Amino acid sequence: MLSLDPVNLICIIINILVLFFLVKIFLFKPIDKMMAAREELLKKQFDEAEATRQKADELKAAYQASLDKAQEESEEIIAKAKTKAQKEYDSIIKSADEDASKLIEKAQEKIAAEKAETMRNMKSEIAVMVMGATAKIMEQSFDKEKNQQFYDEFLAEAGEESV
Amino acid sequence: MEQLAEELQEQLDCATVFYIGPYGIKESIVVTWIIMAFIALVCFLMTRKLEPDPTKVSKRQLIVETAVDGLRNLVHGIVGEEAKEYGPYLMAVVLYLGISNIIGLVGFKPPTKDLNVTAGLALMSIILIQYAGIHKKGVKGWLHSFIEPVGIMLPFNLLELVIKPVSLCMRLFGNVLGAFVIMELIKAILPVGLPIPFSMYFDIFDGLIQAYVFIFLTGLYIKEAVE
Repeated sequence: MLSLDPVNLICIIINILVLFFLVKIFLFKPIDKMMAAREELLKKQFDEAEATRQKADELKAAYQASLDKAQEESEEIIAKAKTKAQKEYDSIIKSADEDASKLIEKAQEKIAAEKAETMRNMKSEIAVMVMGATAKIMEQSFDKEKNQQFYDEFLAEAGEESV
Repeated sequence: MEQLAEELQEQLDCATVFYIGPYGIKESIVVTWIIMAFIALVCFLMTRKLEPDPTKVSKRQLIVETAVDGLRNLVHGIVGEEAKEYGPYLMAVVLYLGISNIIGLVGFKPPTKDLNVTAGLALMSIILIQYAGIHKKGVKGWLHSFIEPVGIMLPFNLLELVIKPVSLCMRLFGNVLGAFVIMELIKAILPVGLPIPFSMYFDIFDGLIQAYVFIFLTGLYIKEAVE
């Protein structure tokens, strides 16, 4: 029980060393190998995720840029359309004004021409009537009363005619 | 009573199982071989087809990973980061001692009940401790460590070279032996029921604690040596 035996002592030391190597080979080596593989795998996954994230960021930036561009373009188009519309409006208004003034001018000219025509017609009619009246006066005797009556008749006739 | 003493004596004696030439091989060596085979087999079976993907690990792998992680944390907590390379030896020893100390439960005679085993382990521990010191500080630094902190400490430091392994050896041996004797006495008083709680303590708890204490002290001495 309490005796030390060198052979058994050496045997035990050899046993422990062998056990140490057995544990190292059968337990720690495969575990460490697996851990290294796991680390690599995780690193790979992490890198992949990182790459995907970067790509997504790039895409996002590109989309943002194209969105901004579209916004700008639409603003430009709207502004262009507005100026064009304003121009068209102005030109329409201008031509309408011109047309209206032309029409008024024409109407005025026509009115003036008609007036002149009427005046001419009246003048010739008055002349005929005056001639008629003169002839009548010539035919009848000079009578103050009759003359007065004659004037009145003439005036009434002339008035009717001019209405 | 005399019969009990005789029986105890017989139980405590480590029988010589066979001879290689003139050298007798004791029971403890053979049981150690069995333990070694068992550990190697379990390690071999548990580490088949380990899956690196953490989302696809099997239950078996989870167990072995947890066990190895636990052992590593335990040992690295003792020796510290600087002496991490001595961790695997301590883990192998704690596995061996843990199984040795509780192998009595399945009918084998615990090898740690043989002084040769604990002395062998303690011898290896002190060699490892000195090796760690030399490896870290060089021969000069290692020799200088014997007169630290002052020159007068030299005899005490030299004594420690002997005291450390002897205390390691005797602590383990004494605990296992004492636990065994107490258990035998309890069994002699009342073989039914009563030994169960005591067996829990002396055979299982004390055995594992002593395995831990052995590597704890060895680790501590190594840490001290590399500081």
